[in-house]
Order: sequence, then structure tokens, then C-alpha cells
Amino acid sequence: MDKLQVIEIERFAIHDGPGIRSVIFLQGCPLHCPWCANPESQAFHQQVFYTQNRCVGCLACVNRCEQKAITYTDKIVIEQSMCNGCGKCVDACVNDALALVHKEMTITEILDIIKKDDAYYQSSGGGITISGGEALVHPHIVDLVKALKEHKYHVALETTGQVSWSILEQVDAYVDLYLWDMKHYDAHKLVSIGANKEIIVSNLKHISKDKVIARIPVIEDYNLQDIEELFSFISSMGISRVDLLPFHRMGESKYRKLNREYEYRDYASMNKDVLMKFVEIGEKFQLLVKIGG
Amino acid sequence: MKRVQVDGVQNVEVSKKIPCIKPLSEQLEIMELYTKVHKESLSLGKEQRELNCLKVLYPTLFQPLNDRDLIAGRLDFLPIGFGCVTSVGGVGHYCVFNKLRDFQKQLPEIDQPRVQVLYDYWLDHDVKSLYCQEMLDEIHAGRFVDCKHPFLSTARLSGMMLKYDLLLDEGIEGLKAKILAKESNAFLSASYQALTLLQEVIEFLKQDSYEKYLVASDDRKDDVYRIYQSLEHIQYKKPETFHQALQLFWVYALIAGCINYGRLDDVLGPFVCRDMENGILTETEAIRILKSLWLMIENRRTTVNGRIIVGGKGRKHPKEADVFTRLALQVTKECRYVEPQFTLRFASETPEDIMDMAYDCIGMGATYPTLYNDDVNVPAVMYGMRVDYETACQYVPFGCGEFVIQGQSVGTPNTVINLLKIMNMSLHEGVDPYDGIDKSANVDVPNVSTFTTFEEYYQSYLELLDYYLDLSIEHQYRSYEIMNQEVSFLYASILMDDCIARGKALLDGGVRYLGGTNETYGNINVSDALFAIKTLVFDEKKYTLPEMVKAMDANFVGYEKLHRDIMKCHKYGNDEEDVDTLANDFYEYVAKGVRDRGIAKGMQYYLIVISNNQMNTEWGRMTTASLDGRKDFMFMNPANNPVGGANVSGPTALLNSLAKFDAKYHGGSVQNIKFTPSMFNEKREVIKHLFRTYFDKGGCHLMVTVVDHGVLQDAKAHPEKYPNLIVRVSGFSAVFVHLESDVQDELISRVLYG
Repeated sequence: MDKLQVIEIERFAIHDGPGIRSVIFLQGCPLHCPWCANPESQAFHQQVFYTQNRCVGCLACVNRCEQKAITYTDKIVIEQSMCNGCGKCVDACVNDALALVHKEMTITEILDIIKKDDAYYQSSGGGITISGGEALVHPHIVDLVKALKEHKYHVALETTGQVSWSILEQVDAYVDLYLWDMKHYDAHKLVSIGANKEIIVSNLKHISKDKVIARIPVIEDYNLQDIEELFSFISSMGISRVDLLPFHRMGESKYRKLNREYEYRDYASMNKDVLMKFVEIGEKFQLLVKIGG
Repeated sequence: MKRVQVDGVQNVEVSKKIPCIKPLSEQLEIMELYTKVHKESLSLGKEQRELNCLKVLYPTLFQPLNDRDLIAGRLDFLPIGFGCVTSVGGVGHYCVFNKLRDFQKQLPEIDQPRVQVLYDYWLDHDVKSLYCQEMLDEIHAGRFVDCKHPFLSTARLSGMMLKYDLLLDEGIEGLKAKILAKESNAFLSASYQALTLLQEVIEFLKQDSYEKYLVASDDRKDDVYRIYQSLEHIQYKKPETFHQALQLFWVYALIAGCINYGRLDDVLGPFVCRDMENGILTETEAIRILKSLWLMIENRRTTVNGRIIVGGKGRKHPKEADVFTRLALQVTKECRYVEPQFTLRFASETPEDIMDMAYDCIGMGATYPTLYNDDVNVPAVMYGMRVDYETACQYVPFGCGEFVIQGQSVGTPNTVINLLKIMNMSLHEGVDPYDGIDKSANVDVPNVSTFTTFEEYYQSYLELLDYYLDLSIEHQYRSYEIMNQEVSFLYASILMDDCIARGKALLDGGVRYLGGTNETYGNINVSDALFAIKTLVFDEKKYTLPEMVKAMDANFVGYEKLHRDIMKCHKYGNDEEDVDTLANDFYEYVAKGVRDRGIAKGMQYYLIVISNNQMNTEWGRMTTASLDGRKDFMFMNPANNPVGGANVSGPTALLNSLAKFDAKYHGGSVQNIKFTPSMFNEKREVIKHLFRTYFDKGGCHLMVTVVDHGVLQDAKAHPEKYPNLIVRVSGFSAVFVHLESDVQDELISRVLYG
């Protein structure tokens, strides 16, 4: 059976859609937002997390890697593009300094995990959220969404909308709620992170707005000063609900583990209170604004 | 003859006791007189001896009314005296030898030999020592709490929750009349006189309150006068008001040596409502009085007791009881003491506002109420204790979580067992790797190299365990016989079915249901270790069992890869079918094994209780590394919870694992969960659904700690900043900074959700 690249299935997720949910995080994203809190989800291929403070420098991983993707001169360096995801280095490390980012899972395996919490979803009006990366670019997303609906789950999909309509069209009938990432209204600003406004707007037009919550990751030097205009844009698209997600730094350690530079290292996590004023501003645009998911 | 060591610490004592207010010389005189009377009464029946001795203590040990209490009754304890449990005083005619030694050291040198005389006398007469002397070989069975041993036993009468409704319905004179209506015998006659002594105590308190009234300040006068009036009323008449009822209940609980109080909502609720209807009590005043009670309970400092239970099925006055419940929730929220251990029983019919108040109270960080699900527990108790529905509805948890039937059963946990130590012995041909002593008691424990299947090894472990389960029932039963030989526990007997009706003392055939509990420790370490053996040795064949044992003997030093492979095996608490199934199989083996042995012995019930009172840490200190990956002398898993940090799949997974154990085989099983305030309070609706679903799935119980990330770590480093931080250890709550360092570490290790 075809497999999906699953980074994590988070049980008891309570910030990504209504009620108690499980969130399936899939690998791969066409965007490259520099503030991304889940940088490991951006690449489409397997990667290895390296936690330096657990490493004792035994070089077992270097010796074990048949792809020669791991080298050591003064420190361990993993060339992620050379990794074939065999996991032998992870197995060789007795200190758990290495870990594969995703796991290959069949839909049946995914269902086996999420069904354990069926009673909690039912009781709380919850369900399943598919997230990423960008879930919609995943080759088996249609099968997954279909399977979830066949099992009568409330399905939420977190998306940037940066995907061909032909895919969205196929999943739309099975999706109850979109958590639609709206990072900006300005085409140029969107291009800077790899997004295309035209595609996003065109896709949105075809979707029933009743099942869309716009989510705005609020980033100080990217969109904080443009929130009001963004509200206006969102409102003009016929959307009435908005979640503002304050910038946080919880993804920082993941950049280190991937040996990648974190461009937002000098920015402090944003206090929720900074965003409270937008609740009122949202009302001007007939938007119901919530802070956090 | 070798004498068992008597000087050790007897029980878990986290809260610091408030010392006796009497001068040392007077304390010594009381203990001397008690000893003299005991000695002179040796030729008398145990009932008369008990009564004579009680007369030495009461009312003498009652303190005068202080400046703030709203009911009368504070009691001192001396190292020698009479009681039910080690938490306050001791058991039966007792001497707490280590405290007597401490007392001796405080005396002028000239008086110290007087103490030695007492010490020597009680070596042969302290009830608990008599038990220990006969039963403990200090190889297989050790003294409570001497953690070298895999099994400990003691004599005590824990968890007595009396029929206070009978007391309040009848009044003291009514009880006396019931006794007089029976054909007299030594027990009934002593019981009658004990009630007269109770009236003398009330007289003493009344006189004292009158004196206090005369000198009271203006704003205190009314309070003291009310106490005086209530005492005067209850001395010979049935209580009519809430204050009178509370006063009578309280004095009785004190004099009976009881430290758990039971279903006070059903007992006191009707009085509260009647007073309110009659316009003689306001809600504010009721709360004020209850706060005083809460403080007096706190001041007894019993650490793991002080249970007050509200809510649930089988109450005679549910409407009035719910009024009391709401007041009590309010009081608990405002007081934030570690005792009383405030406990809410609930069922599908419990009013929503009471559940909401309970969650608010928990969300404030009070750790209370602890939550018991009647929809699961009532049927479970029916099966476990072999009683009908109405009886099962009267179950109450005490101490660290054991159940008894209020007013009808004895269920003291006089036996405790370390399942993990026994497992480690089973991997070493019966020798405990902690001290190299063979504790196999002639059970054939093969060398680990001989096992060819997992089942063979598992069976061998269970056979060794069987020996200890056999031992435990004998020790539990004998504890009753020895206590009964020495004492009648007159006050407890009077308010327990069917002592008066049968004319027999509690342990002399009087109590309706003679039960008992066996506290088990390390159950999840064992099941995780069993699963690691099954996976790595027999399924995957990665290691041999001797290799695994060699690694644990080296505390895994030099065996890091093996240790990592163990840690990577599935662990209980993550809703993984394979490891949870094995955990359940082991749980049922132990639980049914204990239960069956109790029935065979002729007891009403003898059940395991998967409780915790920091014994998991204390016993861990003397338990070597284990094959679940636990290192030498680390704490063991708390209660029925996963090993700290092992549950990495979120709260639903944890709760699903917990709900897999069928509650009908145990007599109490403690489940802890920890949330941050932001998750618990800001996502309250979700939390309610989470709990509701868990309870619907068969979850019997939850104890919830709400605390923020980093707070416990910071409190460990800077205790002075956190004098009032309350945490749930398991079977009890405690001020975090009062706990020992490794107990604090164990609490920190537990997963915090949010």
C-alpha cells in the first residue's frame, strides 16, 4: 500500500480546530517562510535531526552511513540532501542524538492510531486535522481525506491554498473545515515566501467560505503593520472567522537540529496581549477574531 | 530471642506535627500513669483495661479552647497512649519508641531513667511490637517502613470511618440506651462506660469554654458562647443544630482516634439546611464554621488521611447533602490546605454546577477535590467486596486511596508489597541484588539462562510472587487477631455495624465486613520490564536474558545500547495495545491472587490497592536497577501511573491506558494527571470532555495537579519562594517544599500536559 510521510500524529490537539483532535503532520511544503516553526516539514525528502548536546562524538553514525552523508571534521555535519532515509545512523547512536524526521505510514496505520481517541472526538465535537507542511501537495492526500470521511470523522485541513485546484476540488467534498493560512494580502510579500496570490485567491473563490477560518501567523516585520489591510482582504473574500497566531520561537531548536540558520533568532516571542486590539478592529470588517487557535 | 527493631520511623510523616502543649514533666507523669494503669489492669479483661487506660488520657489530653476555633476539641498525643493508627499516636496501647527516645533526650538527666523504665515495659506490651515480634523474620517480611525487604507488614487500624449519622440521630444517651437494651457483657459494659467518659470529656470542654467565655473579647464572646451551649446540649441530648452536630461529630472522631471523616455532606447537610430554613444560620456563617473545621483537621497533620467525602450515590439526603457539598467546595478553594483530603464522588446524575465548582477548585491549584467515579466504582465494589448495591454505595476512599464501606467494614492496609524487588529477585535465583540475601524462601527460582520462552520466565516470577502473596494474607489476618487479643477499639466499635447488635468488639466478630488491603508498588515498572524481556529476548532475540541481567547488575554502565533498546520498547501509558495488555495481565494476576486468598481465608474481602504515599520513592532507594530501564535506587512508578516521563503520547493516550484495568479487581487505584493552568483553565470545556470520556470508558478515579512549567523545578531550587505550593504526591497532597529531594524529583519527572 502507498505510504504517507508522517512527521507526527499529535493526539489531544486542542488548538487546531474544534474539540479534541488528532493532527496528522505531513512532510513537504512549497512555501519557505523564514519564521516557520516547523522547518523540518518544509523539505520533501527525509532528513535527520541531530541533537548536539546528546552527542558524545563516538562517530558510530559516520561509520555507519553508507551514503557518506555524515561527516566529521570538528563537528558532526549531516548533508541532508544526500540522506536516503535508511535510518542506520539513528540505530547506531546509543545516545539518541539522531532521529529521522518522518515515518512512512499507510492510511491503515494512521487510522489505527487516530481511532484510539474516537470517544474523545465524539464527546467534544472534535475530529482530525491534517496539517503539514502543506498537506495538499502530498501525493496521497485525496485517499487520506476520503478514508477519514468514510470513518465519519470531522475533517479539518490546514493549508496555505498554494496548490492546484484539481487537488483541492477532489478533497473539498470530504473537508469540513479549512484552516487557511493567510500570511499576507500583498502579491509581492507572498512571492517572497514562495506563495502565489493568484492561485490562492482563485482556490478560495471555489470554496464555501462557511467552512474557512483564516489563520494569520503574526510576524513583526512581515505583516504586523498590515493586519488591518489583511482583515479587509479576508473580509472581501467572504470569510468571517480569523485566528491570529502570535509569533513564537518554539521552533528554534529544530533549526539547530537541522544545522540551518534561524533568521528570526533575534526576535522575541510575541505576547498575546499585543494582538488583543485586533479583536475590536476585526469587528469593523465583520470578522470574528480569536487570538491563538 | 532476637527482638525486632522498634526504634525506626513508623510511617510517612511529611507534615510537621504540632507538639504537645503540656510541660514535659506533666507529659511524663501522664505516660507513667498510663503505664501503671495498664500494668495493673493486665489481669483484667482487655475491655476494662482499655477503658481504664482511656480514662488516664481523657479528658487530660484535650487542650483548652484557643482564641480562634469555632468548635471545641484539640487533642495532644504522647509517645505512649492509645489509638488506632500511627499517624496520630499509635495502634492500640502503643509506645512510639523513637519518639519516646526523643522525648527522653529533652528531659533533665535526672528524669531520663524514668523514661527507660517505660521503654522497657512497652517493649513487651506495645501492640504493634507484639505483632512485629511474632510475624517479622526481617528477611522476607520486614517492619513498616524498612525498605530492604520485599514485603512489609504491620498492625494498625487505618481508615476507620464511623457511622456518624447514628451518633447524630441517637445522641450519646440514645447510644447508651441501645447498649442497655442488649444483654450485658464485658464489651457492652465497657462501651457504655466509654460513652460516659465521652460525656465527661464534653463536661471538661464545656467548663473550659465557660471560663473562656468569661474573659473573651467582645467580638469573640458569641462564638465561645455558642460552643458552650452546643457542648451543654450534646452532653445528654441529640444535636438539633448544625453547630451541635458538628461539635458532637468532632469530639467523637477525636476520642475514637479516627483521622478520616467520611461522607460529611450526608451527615451534616440536613442540619445545615434546617438551620438555614429556621433562620439561625447564614451561608457565610456556615462557611466560617467549616473553615474552622478545615483548619482543625489540617492541624492534626496526618499527611495521608483527613478524608472528607462528598457527593455520589446512596446518600439519604441528596438535596441537603449537595448544599453542604457546595459550601465545602467553596471552603476548600479558599483554604488550600493539604488536609482535609477533600474528595468528590460523582455520577452521571451529579449536578453540573457541582462539577464546575470542583474543576474551578482544581484549576486554582488546590489539588482538590480528588475525583471518584461512582458509575464505575459502585459496581466494582459490589464485585470486589462481594456486597449488594446499597452497601457498595457506601464505599469511601481513605488514606492513600483504599476503599472501605463507611460504618460497615474494616479495610486497613496492613500489608505492602514491592513487586519490582521480587522481580529482581526472580532474575537472581531468589537473591535480592540489593543486599545479596536469598529471599526466595525455598521457592525454586531457576537460573535465568534456563528459560527458553517468555512464558517460562514469567511463570517463574509469578511462582516466587505467589509465596509473597501467601505470606501477605497470613500477615494481614494475623494483624487482626493480635490487635483483637489486646484491645477492643471501643469507640470505633460503638459506631460500626454490627458491634453493638452482636455485643462484640470490632475485631472480635463485631464488624459486619472484615476486609483488608494490600498496597502494591512497582506494578508498572514490572510490566514494562516484562515487556522489555519479552520483546528483546524472546521476540526479537536481540539479547539473551543473562545479558540483560548482567547489564542491570552493572546499572547499565557499559551497556548503553542495551539500555537504549530497553527504553525504546513500548511503555505503559501510551495506549499501546501490546504493553498495556501485558500490564493488565500482570495487574489481574496480582489483584485476583490477593482477592482469592482473602476469600479463602474467610475474610469478606482482601484487595490490592495501587496507591502511593511516597513509598514508591522510599522503596526505590533500596531496589536495584530494573529491566524497564530504571537505574539503581531510582524511584519506582507512582501508584497506577506510568514511570515518570514514559507517557509521551498525550493525555488521551495516558487515560486510555489507565482505563484498561478493570476496577472490580482492586480496592482503590490512584491515577494522577498534571496540567498547566493555561491548559486546564483556558481550555476548560475540552478538559471536561477529556475527563468525561475517560470516566465513561471505565476510568474510576483522577487526581489532578495544576501547576505551571518550571514551577516545581524552581521551587526545588528556591523553596523559600514557594511556602504554599501544594502538589499531589499520589495518595496524598503535600506542600512541595516539605518533601524530600528525591520525592520532589519523582514529581518533577511526571509528564505535565499543556
